[in-house]
Amino acid sequence: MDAFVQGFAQILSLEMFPFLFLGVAGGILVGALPGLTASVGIILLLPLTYKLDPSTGMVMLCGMFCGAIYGGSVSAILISTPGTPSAAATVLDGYPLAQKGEAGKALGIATIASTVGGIISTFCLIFLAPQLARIALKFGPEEYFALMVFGLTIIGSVSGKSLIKGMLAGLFGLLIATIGLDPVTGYARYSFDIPDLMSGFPLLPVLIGLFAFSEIFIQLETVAKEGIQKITRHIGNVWPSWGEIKSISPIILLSSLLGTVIGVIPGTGGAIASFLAYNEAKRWSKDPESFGKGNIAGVAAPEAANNGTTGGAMVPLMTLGIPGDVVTAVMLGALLLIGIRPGPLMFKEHPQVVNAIFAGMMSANFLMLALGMVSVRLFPHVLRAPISILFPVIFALCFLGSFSLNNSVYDMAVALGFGVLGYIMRKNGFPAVPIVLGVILGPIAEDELGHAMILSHGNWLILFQSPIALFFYGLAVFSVFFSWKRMKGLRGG
Amino acid sequence: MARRDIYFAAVLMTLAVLFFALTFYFPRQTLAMSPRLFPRVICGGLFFLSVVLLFQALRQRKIAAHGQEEKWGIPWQRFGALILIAFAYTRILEEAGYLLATPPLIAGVMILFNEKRWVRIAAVSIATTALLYILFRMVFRVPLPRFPFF
Repeated sequence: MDAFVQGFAQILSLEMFPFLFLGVAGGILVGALPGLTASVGIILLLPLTYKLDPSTGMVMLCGMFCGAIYGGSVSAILISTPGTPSAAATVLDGYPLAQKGEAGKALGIATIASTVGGIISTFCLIFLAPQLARIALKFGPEEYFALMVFGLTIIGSVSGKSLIKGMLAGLFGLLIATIGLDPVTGYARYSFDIPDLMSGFPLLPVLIGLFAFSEIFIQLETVAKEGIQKITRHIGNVWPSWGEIKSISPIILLSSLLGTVIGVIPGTGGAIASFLAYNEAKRWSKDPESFGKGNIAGVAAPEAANNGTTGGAMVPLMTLGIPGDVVTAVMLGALLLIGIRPGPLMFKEHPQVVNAIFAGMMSANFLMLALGMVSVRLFPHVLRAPISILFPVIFALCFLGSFSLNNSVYDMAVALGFGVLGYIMRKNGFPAVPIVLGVILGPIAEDELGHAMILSHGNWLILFQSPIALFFYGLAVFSVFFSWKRMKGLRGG
Repeated sequence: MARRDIYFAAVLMTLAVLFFALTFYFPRQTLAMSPRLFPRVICGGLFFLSVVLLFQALRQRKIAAHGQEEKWGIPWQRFGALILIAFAYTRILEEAGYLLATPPLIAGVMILFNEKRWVRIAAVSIATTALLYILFRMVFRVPLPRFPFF
């Protein structure tokens, strides 16, 4: 408890609070703009994070995470286009509310629901994560290897429409990660005596290329449109009435818990949580026919659930080192970049970063409420930002960001190369996230496997002797099977 | 999409075979695990799944034999121009310095994004260059390339 209070005191200091503010405000902006997702927002902040103290950097990224997931509701409500995938369900009732002249109320409800969802999930993170970390401290290299195998199978869950293409992208990421020094023996693989290749592809430029540059190339296709859309919606009253708050409170609470649980399960995320919450709210409603026509519960449920996943997704990331969703996959890269390997040892070796994350997530949600309610009338202006200015600025920022890591033009070329690769692959149904998972988790898996082999003097049976390892292998098989069934259902359905 | 999937499958299969072949140049088992092992397992998986994708694509092509292949939808000229501008930037950045090289990069990308107002192009290019300079050079103390003559 003392540590948590200390974390809060740090957040409110002059050294940290401006960066939390930047993260949350930037996140709301990024989330509100279609074409920019929470992942892209985090990547834009990565070069800055690298220059900051690790605690400050992580607080800023947590602010971006929470702000961006909420920000997606802005464009979902105002222009029927979700700013982030997590806000897709919010369109169903948010936009009809805006069409009825109640855009302000819809945005107000989205803000309140997102805040409650975020706070509840952060409480779960604070109480659950240290307990799980204590259990995970007992893991040996064979358990970690099994955990990494399970972590890699969530590739199936983030594979979009084709499991085969998702797995191919993941394997491609694993293959790229083998370029450079072998983590066990230190032998330089596939380097062809080129000094730059001996250390492999640096992670930050790979992330910038695969996410930010490929997205900019995709936006080039819509260049004919002038800005995003002309918004003439009147905002009106933002605060819902006391009766409306009372009526949606149970839905907000239950959706927040649902979102938290879904967030804890690796490979899920805000989009799944928001649709599940929407369906449940409709199912239990006394007036299900009104859903889809501007029912405030249809805004409250998905927004509480999608922000509920933020704290939940941080649980497997911080305790086990495997990402809960797409955004935390990028956060995993961010933590590795600043020299912190997430997992149970993080709680022992970097307690100040852990406390900063806990306090940061909680503070970000309160700040999000304040900023959201105060700036809601500015949102239509934000959505008018012309892409002819927005994306060139982001392009320049990303280029400079990839240069700033090592003062290296090679890194810029890597970012550009992976941008082209990411774009071509995405145009053909190969998702980018599995590549990132392969690049990040591959070396960790190989390192743990190597340690297990050294400890067992080359006896492979060690991998199958631990019940915990067998449990993770079982989860891995189930994860692949579940993904395959889901894809089959999507294609057949 | 089926034809493109066939090309992708072929490229990935070739990549898998190439990377696998190169592992023969790696040393044999030095400690408990050889540097060859992981790449070989990955190449095996990559090859196998590429074959699966190839068969899927061939089957899809047969089914859609009379239909039209879906277009890529890539604006090749703009895309090519953007890559060229970006590549040129990486080449001239260290020679010309950040302050001289960056405004043309931003201006070029704005033109590709259909910005036609020259005053706006100039203003945004210069302002963004300046803001990024302040942020990276002065706030984060990242040394940026300078034009050698000033």
